[in-house]
Order: sequence, then C-alpha cells, then structure tokens
Amino acid sequence: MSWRLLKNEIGRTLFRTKVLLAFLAMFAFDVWNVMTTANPSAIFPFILPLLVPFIIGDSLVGERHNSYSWLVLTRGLSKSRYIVIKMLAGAINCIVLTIALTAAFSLAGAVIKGAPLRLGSETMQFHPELLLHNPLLHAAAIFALVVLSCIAALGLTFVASTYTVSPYVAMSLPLLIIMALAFFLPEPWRWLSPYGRIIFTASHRPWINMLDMTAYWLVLGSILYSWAIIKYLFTEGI
Amino acid sequence: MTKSTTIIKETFRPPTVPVVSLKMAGKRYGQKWVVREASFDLYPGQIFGLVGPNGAGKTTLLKMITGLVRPSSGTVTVAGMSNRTEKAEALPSIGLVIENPPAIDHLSGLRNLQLLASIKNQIGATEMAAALRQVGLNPEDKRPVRKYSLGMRQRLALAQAIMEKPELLILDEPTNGLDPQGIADLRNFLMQLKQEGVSILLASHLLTEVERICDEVVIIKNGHIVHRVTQKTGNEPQQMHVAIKLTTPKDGKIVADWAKNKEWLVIGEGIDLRLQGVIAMPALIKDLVSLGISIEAVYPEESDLETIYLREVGGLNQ
Repeated sequence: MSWRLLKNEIGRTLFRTKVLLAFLAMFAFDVWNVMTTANPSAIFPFILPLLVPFIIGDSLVGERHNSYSWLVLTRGLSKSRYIVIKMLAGAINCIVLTIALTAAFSLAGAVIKGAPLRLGSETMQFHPELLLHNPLLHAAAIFALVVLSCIAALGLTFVASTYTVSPYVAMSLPLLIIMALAFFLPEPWRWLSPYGRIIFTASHRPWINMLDMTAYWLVLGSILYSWAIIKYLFTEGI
Repeated sequence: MTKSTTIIKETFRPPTVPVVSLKMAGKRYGQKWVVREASFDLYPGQIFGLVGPNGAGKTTLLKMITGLVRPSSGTVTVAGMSNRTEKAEALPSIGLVIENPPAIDHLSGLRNLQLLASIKNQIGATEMAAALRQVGLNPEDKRPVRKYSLGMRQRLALAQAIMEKPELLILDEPTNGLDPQGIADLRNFLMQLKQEGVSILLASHLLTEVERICDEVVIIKNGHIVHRVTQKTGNEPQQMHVAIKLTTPKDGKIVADWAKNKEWLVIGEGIDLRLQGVIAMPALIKDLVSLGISIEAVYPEESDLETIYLREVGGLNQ
C-alpha cells in the first residue's frame, strides 16, 4: 500500500504549475548567469533550499489546513504511515528537482558555452578531501549537499507545521528562521547558521569542508525530522 | 439534563447492534470541555441528525467518532469496536463529507477519487465513475477541481464518501453550496442509502431538511446534548409541549409534583413551567383548576424542530 501511495504523492506534488514555474524561474536565473558570467556557477544550489518549503512544503501543511488529511485517515491509513509518506515524498521530490535543475544547468552550458557545465566553480575547492579535486566528484558532492540542504529546509517546514495549521506560516517560517539566524546569531554561534552552508554551495569561496557540511545537514535534518515525527505522533489529530 | 421530544412521523425501529455508540463521551482541551457526556446510538439504516450553533462541538464529536481525536471521557465505538484500539477494522467502513469540502485542486474530479481510493485499493475506475454519476458529476470532465463551483465540490465530496460503499456515512454540512434542486437530490439520495441499510450521521444547520429526513436528532449547545428529538410512528399518542404561567410561585411546586406523577417532563420552576407529554389541553386546565391553582395563562407550544432548537439555543423566550 505504501509504495503506491508514495508514488501518488510524488506525482501529485511534483507535477503542478507552481513547481514548473519555480523550476523555470530558477533555470532562467542560471541561464542568465551562464550568459553573463565568464566563469559561471549554478545559482540554484543557493536558491532551491531557501524556496523548497514554498515549492513543495504545502503537501502536508495544506492538507492539515483544509482537513483533507481527515479524509485520508478515515480510510484506514495510520497517522505515522501518512506522515512518513509525506516526508519520504518530500525528500524524493528534493532529489528530483535537484537532478532536473543540474541537468538543465549543464545543458544550458552546453548550448551557450559549447561544453556542459558542472556544479561548483573552478575556484571552489573542498578541503581536506583531496579526492574531491576530481571535478566530477566535486560536482557530485555539491549535488549531494544541495539535496541534503533542501531536505533539511523541508524538515523545518514539517516542524513549523506542528505548531501552526496555517500553511502560509509553515511554509514561510523556514526562510525567516534561516535568514534570522544568519543575521542575529552571535559570532561564536554563527557556525550553526544554515545560511552559510547554503551559500557556500553556489559561491566561489575556497576551502569548503565536505565532511563538516555533510555532517551538519545530516544532523540538522535528523533532529528536525525526528522532532516533527514525535510531535505529530504525540499530538492529537493531525 | 437532556430533554426529549417525540415528533410524529414514519417509524424507525432500531435493530440491536448500533453502528456508532457513544457512552458519556467527552472531549476536553485544557480546562475546557468541548463535548461533555454525549450519549447516543446510531443503528443500521438510521439517519441521525446533529444540530447546534457554530462552535457547539459537532465537529469535535464527528472527529471522536472517526477516531481523529481521543475522547477524554466515556467511550466511542464504531461497529461494536473501539475506533482507536481497533481502528483498522472499525474505520474502513466510514464515508466522510467535511464542511468546505477539501480536494486536490489541480486534479480532475475522477483523479481526486482515484487518489483517495488508492489508499484502500478496493474499487476500480468503474465504481468511481458510477459514484460521480450518482451525484450528478461527469466522470469525463477533465477540468481541475479549482474550476468547480461550490455545489460541484460538494457533490465530489459526496462521491468520494460513497464510492467505497461505506456502512456509515458522516456528513458535516453537506448542503453547503447546493441549490434547491441539489438539496432535493441529496435528500432523495440519502433516503435511498437509508433504504439500502447505510447509517447516516448528518450535521447540518438546515433544520427543515434535518427534521424531514432524520429518525432522531440531538441538539448540541456548548458541548452538551441539550435536547433529543425522536421521530415515531403516527400510531403512538402525540406528545405535546404546554407552557403554563402561574400567578404565585408556590403553585409551581404543586404543579410540578402533580405533572411528574403523570410521568410528564417538567421544565422550569416557579411561575413559568413547561410540561411535555401526552397532554390533553381541556383535561389539563380542568385538573389545574380542581387543584386550586391560580393560572395566568396556559397554551400549547410548537414542537417542530426549529421551535425546539430556537428555544434550546436561546433564540426564543430570551
């Protein structure tokens, strides 16, 4: 039952005008960057994690808001399974969106510059993982970090949704939290800010610590998803 | 105390095992009781009405029945099973229509049904198309639901509720957005489902419709069931509501005791009393005079649902 529901959930949240428009906007932004910059780097790795709660975050919070979840749960689907399906579908959608944008960016590079472009810039280097000096591994590492940061950002929406039934609040809060932490965290705590780790993936800054970045997103994501699942399961209703 | 009224109508004779049974069920959020000591049974083939002002606790009651919220007190059973501990067995036979019917707006009506039907995976496209036709929608209609009128959304909500042929149909304001023809169609449709043995729980503000189709109605106010109206056969003696205004408060106690001996329901005290039972007006007046009661006025009260409702929720005599 769950695979079928997961497939349906991915299909219905991904194939929407809203998602297509967001995809086209990010793609257009990257095309513009490829056309106007000598050494272009994809901008979507920075934009996507900030926007993903708006793009696909309404799946759960919207259904809670209009009571659609009530219809689903009276059909014998347990609350835990329902929430896990929503979260898994969200994660898979993040992967699909990142793949689509990476491919589109690469293709735009091939058409405009005559050669496919990879994620990350030439001046961007990981440290101390020497293996990642390989350009393809380098691009793959950025791809993985974008996916992880998107999933974690979506986790913020899930947590926010346990405190509000308003989909607009739940979808906006992640962006507000990320920006607020970037500006208002005291200097000794600034390393906790997700924003710094999002902007690195699209910037020309050197010496990014791959292990630190991966560990950060994995830990943050795990905390957020565990928090949301526990809160949902131990709170009445949906 | 919950009062009760019987209105003469076609009979409904309940079988023994209720589809839904609430026994002193209550729900508390913090210190506030949203539903308190609610008890009623809904039997197969019965239409049961829930009426009350907005915020009276109707939706919470429906959420308790569907297992979405846990009762803070008492018990709720569906088909004889706890809707929480035996949820998988109890709940698959429920069809639900929610107020302001939700749907996935960018998909067609049929696709919406397909998504919901995929949860149980018991029916195919034929049954879904039949359900859409049954409520007056075209299964071939490819328009997204966001282009539907409110009435069409309501019909779609009904289609998703009935498509899996549930034993229990829960309808929360199903007439919202329906035109008079739509309301008449819905009424006929519900009566047909009733004939087929489906139990229907109907929460609505349309009192005339509720009175017309329900076998039993409860009026809820501030989370309490304050009145129960049962429709019974025309062969049974007619219940009456009689209002009495006395000139002296001490007579109130005498009248109340006397009426209770006759097994009539007595509401109120002092100089303002209401009696409910099988009452013959001329005999009542004669008896009161013979008891030496000083009467200012005696008159029969309307006992239709709307009058009872307005009296109970504070619209009349306030």
